[in-house]
Amino acid sequence: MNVKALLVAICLASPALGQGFAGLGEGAEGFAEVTPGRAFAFPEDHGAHPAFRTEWWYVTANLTGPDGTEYGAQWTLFRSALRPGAEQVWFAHAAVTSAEDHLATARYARGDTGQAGVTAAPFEAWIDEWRMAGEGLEAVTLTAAGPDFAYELALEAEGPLVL
Amino acid sequence: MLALEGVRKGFPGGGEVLRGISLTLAPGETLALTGESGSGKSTLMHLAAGLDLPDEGRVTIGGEETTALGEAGRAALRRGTVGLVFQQFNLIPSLTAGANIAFHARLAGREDPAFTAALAARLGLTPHLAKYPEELSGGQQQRAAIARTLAARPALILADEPTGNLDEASAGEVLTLLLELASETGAALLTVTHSPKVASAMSRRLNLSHGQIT
Amino acid sequence: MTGAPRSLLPKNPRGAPGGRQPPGRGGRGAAAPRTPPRTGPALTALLSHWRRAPLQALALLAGLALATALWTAVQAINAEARAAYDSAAALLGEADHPQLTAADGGPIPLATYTALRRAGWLVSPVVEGRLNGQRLVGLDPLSAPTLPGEGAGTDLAAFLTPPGQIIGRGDSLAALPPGVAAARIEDPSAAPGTLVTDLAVAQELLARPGQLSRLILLPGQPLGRPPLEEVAPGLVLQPASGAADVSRLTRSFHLNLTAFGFLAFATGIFIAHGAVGLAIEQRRGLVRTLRALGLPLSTILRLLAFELLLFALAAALLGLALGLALAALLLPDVSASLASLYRAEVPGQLSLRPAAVAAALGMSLIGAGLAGGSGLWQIARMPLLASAGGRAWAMRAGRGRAIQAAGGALLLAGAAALTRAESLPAAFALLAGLLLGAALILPAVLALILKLGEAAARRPLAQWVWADSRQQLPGLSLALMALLLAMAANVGVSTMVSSFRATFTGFLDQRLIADLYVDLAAPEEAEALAGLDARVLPLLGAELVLRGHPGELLGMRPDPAYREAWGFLDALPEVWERLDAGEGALVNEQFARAEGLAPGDALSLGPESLPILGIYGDYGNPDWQVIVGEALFRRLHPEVQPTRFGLIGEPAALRPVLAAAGIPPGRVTDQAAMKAAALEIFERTFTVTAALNAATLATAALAMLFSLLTMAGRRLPQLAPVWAMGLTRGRLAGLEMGRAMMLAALTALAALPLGLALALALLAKVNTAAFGWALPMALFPWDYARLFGLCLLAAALAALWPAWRLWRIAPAELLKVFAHER
Repeated sequence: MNVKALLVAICLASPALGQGFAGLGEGAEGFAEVTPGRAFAFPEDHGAHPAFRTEWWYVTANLTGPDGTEYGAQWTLFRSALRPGAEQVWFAHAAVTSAEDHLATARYARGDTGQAGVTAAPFEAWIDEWRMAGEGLEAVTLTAAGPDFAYELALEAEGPLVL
Repeated sequence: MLALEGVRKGFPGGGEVLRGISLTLAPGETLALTGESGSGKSTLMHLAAGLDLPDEGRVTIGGEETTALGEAGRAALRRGTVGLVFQQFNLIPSLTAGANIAFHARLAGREDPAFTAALAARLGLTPHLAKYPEELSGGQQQRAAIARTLAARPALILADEPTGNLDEASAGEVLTLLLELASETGAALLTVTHSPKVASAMSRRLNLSHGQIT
Repeated sequence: MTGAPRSLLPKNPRGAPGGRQPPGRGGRGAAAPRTPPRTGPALTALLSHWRRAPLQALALLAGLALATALWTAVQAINAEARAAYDSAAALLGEADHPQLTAADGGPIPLATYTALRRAGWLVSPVVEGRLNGQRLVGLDPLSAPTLPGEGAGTDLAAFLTPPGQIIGRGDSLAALPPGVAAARIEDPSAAPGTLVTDLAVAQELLARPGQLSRLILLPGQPLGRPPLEEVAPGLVLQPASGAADVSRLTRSFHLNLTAFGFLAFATGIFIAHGAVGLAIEQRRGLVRTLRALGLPLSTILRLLAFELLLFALAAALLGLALGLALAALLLPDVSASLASLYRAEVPGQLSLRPAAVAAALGMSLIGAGLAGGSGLWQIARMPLLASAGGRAWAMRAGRGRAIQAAGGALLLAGAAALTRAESLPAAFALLAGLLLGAALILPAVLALILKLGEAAARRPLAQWVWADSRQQLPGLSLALMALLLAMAANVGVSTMVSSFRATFTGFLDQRLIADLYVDLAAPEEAEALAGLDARVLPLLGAELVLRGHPGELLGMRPDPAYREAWGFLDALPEVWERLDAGEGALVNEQFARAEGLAPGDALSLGPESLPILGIYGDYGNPDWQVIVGEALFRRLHPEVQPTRFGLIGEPAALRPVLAAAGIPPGRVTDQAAMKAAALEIFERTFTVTAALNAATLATAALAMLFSLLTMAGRRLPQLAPVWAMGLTRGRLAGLEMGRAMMLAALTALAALPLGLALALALLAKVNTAAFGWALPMALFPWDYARLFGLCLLAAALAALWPAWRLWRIAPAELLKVFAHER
């Protein structure tokens, strides 16, 4: 499969998710705030930042099948803290689309069982059997599965990190 | 057969119905009791039948003083000695006319089917014996009530307006029958009546006014 | 009172010729202005009847209230049970989801859960244990199939954030140790005896860090999962536990209760119907007068309906209070029987549900409508002038009796036609047809018997008593019908229960063959049993799914004791030899019936396909069951280590040896104790039925009392001439009592075959349809004699007061009959 991928980090919260996920969007006391001018250090900053209220790891991909059919794939892992640095709740969403179909599924996990999490080096973001993993972010494997679809994508970065 | 001596009887609510009544009735004798409404005729009848007791004085039926008897004794007296013809007939609604006519006689242990049948025939009741009281006319009911009393051959017959519900012709016949049978059996007959015709057929006549015999 | 019903006033009544016309108005020839009639005085007149007939009012109120009360009680019990099943089934959706449990029955490490999730097995963790007598369930709200305490004021963040929340009923929450920091959230709809909290909170409270009790397998599993044995070899998959089966199983139990509630309702309505009928009958004259005075018929009907409504409302309140009190009284027994019969948890306490109030009101109104409908219909059709001739009424009664009897015969024929049907609703329809049909026929049958008695009577008094009883029949027939139903229900149910008890006792003798039963704490202790001077029978069992139904497989060690004690409903020759050799299996009756199995049919058990060797009775068990020989069982389930054993030997000698081997006496039970416990459970199961039966009989006696009392006034003109002809009041009173008892005795005699038919229907139809087993019917003449005596006693008690009043009546009252006017 000829794969062309694009890895993007977008700082746009979906309002539907913010409100809909059991009221987790309320109350931000004690959380670290995003301030301008912060210097990032990689690979550490690819990992989780439990002091912040919420963050996510996100991939969208445009794919072309062997017969030339166009597909779209999407993979997101959200982290949300109930208290700063303490109880974590994880939410993930994966989808594949074609011109006709849209298949999607979601996963939820608590942070204290080890069933979801993110490590920086080597890089791995996971929830249940879904994974985004690689030595660094240059080449990662992306997997997700639902009752009606599954994918495993090999992603390669063709440019530098964009902030 | 029947003797009342100085009998007084009060209303339950006060006031006297009977104020010192004395009378006697010998076997075979017939007596008409007349009087205004409310003069105490019914009360006198009830005392004479042993259905009620006097407040003062004595009532003797067939030689037995009612006040001296217990309830059972008075019941036995009514069963065996007294025969009542009620103004309201008071037939037993659950029994046929035939069974009603035979009832008192059987209760008193003096049943005589031939006599009963003859009585019924003379009173014109033979075609109606299988009927229930509610199927009989007023006159038929009254004749059945009289037949019931006579069939028991009581020594003392007490009749309350026995012909009140009958037309003149049958009233005459019933009256004749009553008198005939009374004399045949030697019974004493006390009749309460408004009718001068009935009263005149009796051997004696007493008028009751305000609880006293006048 | 007089002003209240103004709103009932018709806006524009159709012509009221005699309506009030103000004097001086309305000129000659001009139409008089039609002012609507004032209904206030009319209502006062109608209601004044009850002041003169307080007993009738009491009877009407008591009938409606009793009917409402018994119905409400049954419904309240059923509603409470249903709510408990719902909340229990909703909890974690145990009913609908398969579960993973440790093969050894022990805890599951959290790491196993994580490994499963990371392998793509979508499971939800549950830790469960007892805390101060409550079942504490810890779950993960993010993966649990259903969230607890919805609507009870929980929110996910607070549930997950320490100190967390604990959700349950008030009484369960009160049982928590005071030191527990979690917020207590009261949820009246929670499953009784159950507390729900977050996984982490529960693990801490139960002192089980990192341990899980079971995993719920969620729907919508992703593609490409590895097999379970690879990820978590120590776990086994259990099918959905079937808490939903609880409501299916208990449905028959509740249907039973409902049927009895309905029967009680019917007897209550008989009382009310009698009272209303009499009240209407006695007010015919008044109604005629009111109409003659210009009150339209429609207004009168409306006023009577309004009056009935007042009674219904009062009765609803009274009935609701009575019913809830009764339900509260009975609920502990009901919950005990449900728990033992079906393992269904129902709280022992009652909560007031709006539905119960609505049901009480509804049933009271329906009852009032049933009781008063025919009376209103009669008033509506009553001609204005015709006299209410006694004969016309009697003829109507006779014709009504014939129509009734025809209807009853039709119902009986319908019931007979249903004897071939198999379903539970058909079985209950059969019962209803049988009972109602017989009740409708009863007056005609009694009239016939009384007529024969009259014909056969020699003595005049006897003849009069028979004839007079027949005369009284229309007034008493409703009460006697109620008595028939109550008596038949008592005969039928006592036969069923006693037959069941006899079968069950025999079944226990068959099942409990060992002299001692030992519960081991761990399989290793079994070595202690090896040296005993007794035959040791391991009780081997494993749960399994039999054709999609929860069931269990038992392994039986070859032992002569089984051969001696066990009987079969149907079996192949040499059943024991073949069973011991592993050449076949035994199945219980409920399984065989449900699947239409017969000896010789093939049954697949795991890899094996075995012939069915025999079918055995298995009473009181909701599950399907299969028995195989011990060797075959161990081959099929090598992992099962028995911890329960039966010992055949001398208990007195065995007990000290067991104690010396370190098995505490508390874990050793003898056969007699086991039997006693089983029988106690059995008896508790039928406590409610017995209570409802007693209530029905008492209601019937009450119906009779009210009928006799209301008839007493009308009877004086019939009794006075007999008194005048020489019967004492005491004798008359005695005859009245005797008559009531004779009618009750005749009714009870008629109830005996009806009750036996009922028992047959209950045993052969309802039990098979509801539980899956048939019971042989036995007869219990002593019970019937006792019930007959009880019935006579009830009639005697009912007749006692009216008779006593007659005995003590002032002769002046009797004389009034002769001196009516003048």
